[in-house]
Amino acid sequence: MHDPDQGLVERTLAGDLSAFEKLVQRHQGVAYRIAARIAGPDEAEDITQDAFLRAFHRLSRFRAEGSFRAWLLQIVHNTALNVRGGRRSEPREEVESLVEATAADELERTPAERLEDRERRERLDSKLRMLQPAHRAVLVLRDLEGMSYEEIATVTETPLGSVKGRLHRARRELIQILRENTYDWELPK
Amino acid sequence: MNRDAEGGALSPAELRLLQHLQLLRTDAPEPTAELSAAVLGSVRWQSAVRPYLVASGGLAAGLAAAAGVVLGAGARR
Repeated sequence: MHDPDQGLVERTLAGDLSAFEKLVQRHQGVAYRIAARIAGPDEAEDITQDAFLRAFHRLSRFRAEGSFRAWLLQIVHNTALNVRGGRRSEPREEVESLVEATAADELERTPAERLEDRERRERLDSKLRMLQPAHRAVLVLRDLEGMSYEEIATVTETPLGSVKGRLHRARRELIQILRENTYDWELPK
Repeated sequence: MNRDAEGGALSPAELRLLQHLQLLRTDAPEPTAELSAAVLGSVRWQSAVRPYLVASGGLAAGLAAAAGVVLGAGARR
């Protein structure tokens, strides 16, 4: 499998810092989102910076048979869990179509409806933080970032079968938390 | 579609949960504009001082080895 970052990685190793800058710009969004979802927004900036610095200094250890992105996100994931103390096409297409639909709906929504959406987002985000860190991590990587199970296995350094089991338990745990919430999330039994 | 393409069938509650989670996707946290500049700034100064640190580390190791030889020879006398 060809890694689109391979050329930039090689140039960075040869001393070209502008190549590393491109890698940072290319991946800072996903790295920051994952850090923020796992460890919280207050820590996300520091975790992301720290992860990129570690990646830079360890780049000679990066093995090109995997993707640079997965390797970088593995560092982000581990750093975020430490701080805390603690593609597939089908789902992605589903998610993307839902996102597009939501964006279109947004234009037609009243201020009251937008406010309600914001409140629901904040509630859901706070409930997500109640999950065990390892459960939260796989749920974020799969259901928010749309990663493949294989990539999640690399990022979390967990066997593929364990990823599936952990994701199932994470969803079940979050459903249980939401059912216990006073707000009605309309989750069927 | 009531399946997770890789993970198998989803229960109605899981499907509903995934719909709720779309809310978070549409409001994802974003890094500040300064993030990449801060990373690159750190990379630049760390890269600049690294050769000196490596060289001074090598020098210190050399001096320590030399001191060990001298002290060892002194102790044997």
